Amino acid sequence: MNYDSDVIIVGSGPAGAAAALQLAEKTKPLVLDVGITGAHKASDQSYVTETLGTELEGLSHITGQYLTPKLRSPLFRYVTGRWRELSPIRSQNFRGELSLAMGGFANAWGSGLYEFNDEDLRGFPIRPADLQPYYKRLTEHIGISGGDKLFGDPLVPDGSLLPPAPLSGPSKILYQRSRDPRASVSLDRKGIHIGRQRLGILTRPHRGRAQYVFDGRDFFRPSKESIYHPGYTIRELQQCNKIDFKTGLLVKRFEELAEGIVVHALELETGAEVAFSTRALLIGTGAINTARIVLESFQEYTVKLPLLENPVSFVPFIELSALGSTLDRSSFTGAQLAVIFDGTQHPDRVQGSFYNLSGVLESDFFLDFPFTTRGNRYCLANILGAMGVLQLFYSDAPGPAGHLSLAPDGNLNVHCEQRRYGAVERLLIKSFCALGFWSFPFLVRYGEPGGSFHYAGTLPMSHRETMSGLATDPMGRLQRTRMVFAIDASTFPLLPAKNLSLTIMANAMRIAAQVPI
Amino acid sequence: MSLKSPIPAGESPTNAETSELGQFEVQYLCRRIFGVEPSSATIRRYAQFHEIYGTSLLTEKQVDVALLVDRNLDAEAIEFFLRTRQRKNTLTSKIWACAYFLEVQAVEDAASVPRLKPQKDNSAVTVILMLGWLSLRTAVKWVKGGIAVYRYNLA
Repeated sequence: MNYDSDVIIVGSGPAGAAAALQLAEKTKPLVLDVGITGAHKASDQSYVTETLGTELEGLSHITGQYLTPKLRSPLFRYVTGRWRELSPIRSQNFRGELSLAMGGFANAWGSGLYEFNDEDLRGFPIRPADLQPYYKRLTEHIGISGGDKLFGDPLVPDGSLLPPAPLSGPSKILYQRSRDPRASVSLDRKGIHIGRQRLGILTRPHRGRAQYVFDGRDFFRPSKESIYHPGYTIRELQQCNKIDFKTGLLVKRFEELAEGIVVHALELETGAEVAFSTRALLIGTGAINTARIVLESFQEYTVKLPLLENPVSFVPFIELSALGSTLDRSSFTGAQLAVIFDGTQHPDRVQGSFYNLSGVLESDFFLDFPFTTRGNRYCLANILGAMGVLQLFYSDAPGPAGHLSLAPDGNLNVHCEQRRYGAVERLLIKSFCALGFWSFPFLVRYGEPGGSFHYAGTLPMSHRETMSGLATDPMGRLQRTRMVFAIDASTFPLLPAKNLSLTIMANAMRIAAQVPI
Repeated sequence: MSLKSPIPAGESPTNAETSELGQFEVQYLCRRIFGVEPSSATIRRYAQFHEIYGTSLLTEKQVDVALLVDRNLDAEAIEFFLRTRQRKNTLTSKIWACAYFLEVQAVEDAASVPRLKPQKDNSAVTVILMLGWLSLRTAVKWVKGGIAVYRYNLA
């Protein structure tokens, strides 16, 4: 068999880009991807086009389904474009989104980047030391701004991080108050730790990419090069001629033959089926789409695979002394603070991200206050600047709450349940009150099933063979195959409450480094 | 349909007459709710909103906005009453769209339209007192809106 490439990587998100980065050291991999990109240059847009869109697509939530502000932002629409058509899901309750964009969901991520430590890797057949060299390389490659040590000693030394991003508004007040010695002791006793986020944004120029300059448009302008996403890595490797990158291809399935692997894809422009041959195949299209390709390849229509996601909740807070102040629009509009809870109220650690509300349009909150429209307008003008929202992520493990299977008609049947906790939220509300940040349990909102966009665990890594034969070994190698590897979060047997992108990338590099080619 | 009748949900403003009818509606809502005169761009976007989302608006609880405008009723009170009963209703959706258009208009034309944000900070005490007053006002508006909805059979 004449191979198109020694290695084919499917997907250009965090896993695909990181695997390509690693493999480019010893071969020239071929990366296949749908690779949807934004059609317009953000800098060419008028304010109304950026915020509402030429077809008013930024207002779709008024009459339709809720979508996060960034994903419904007109110039970010490409991130979730065409997935319903190309990767159809049938579900009563799944409210998530998938991405077929070049760079994947990371085009619109919050850019929190953390390593998994011993506790996070409980249940994994690998240890932090297995990932450490790749964390180090990625830290240098991406350019990560430093945060506080909230998870014990980090695997990457502080010296390799960029200076932390500046704080502003309620985040700054919360951070300062949590540093008060008495408050700090009290929070520690309850298992609450508050610190700066580790972020993939450049606080100084790094490897040819410019320093982050705040302009208040983070939610409306994609491809700001100072905020990393994996598309930069793909583009960089392509420009150096270290990879072949083909887009407009939806990989449907693979066949492993004695002499190699044939990858079948749909060419979106022509509708024709095309095939590529290779010695080794690495699939990194995200936990759900990777499962789809594997199920389709084995024509498995009865197997149920587990599906993990981080259940989320949102707790709004008001800092009373800041009431009446205008929005502080002077800094990064993503989550500036990380809040960790490892107390006794929940069996696993819970991670939170604390956001100011300066990044989105004020009208997004127009109906979120309990007054008439005029009253709500007063609140927007006088309360928004004093508000922050804490988004909490919970861990997940295989169970009846999440699973998927492939139907013969090509639809994925996805089952995903909403989970509501509450004890941690109540404790945090009480504890934040002592810091001057007020909220009430009835204001807590719980994310829709699938709404965290953190999916994992469909092909979990294990030392043991599974009954279905659809799982991976610690190398990411798919059971029933010799040279097919899953490289994304589909291999995570458990999903801790922690930003997972950096670990997806490090694990993809670990697997890529060991592919026997 | 009277001359002052607004755009029915789901109907595209395909001619000058329909555009004019939509103009009455958006002007009425912007003046009554926001105290702001909509710019020509806002009026155009309002018509575009109906053109694009008209079909979706049809799936919501229908409110007789035409009658509301004709009778010069208290849109703020009626909207709040309806929102407490069923958030997905055409009046709330239209007013929410207006809020976005005026926010954008404020940036595009800062000189002619007051921004939603105050020019200077208010004190926390002022805000808390104001919130107390707004609670009282909201309760009164809810009753007023409820009476109007049942009296004129608006929804």
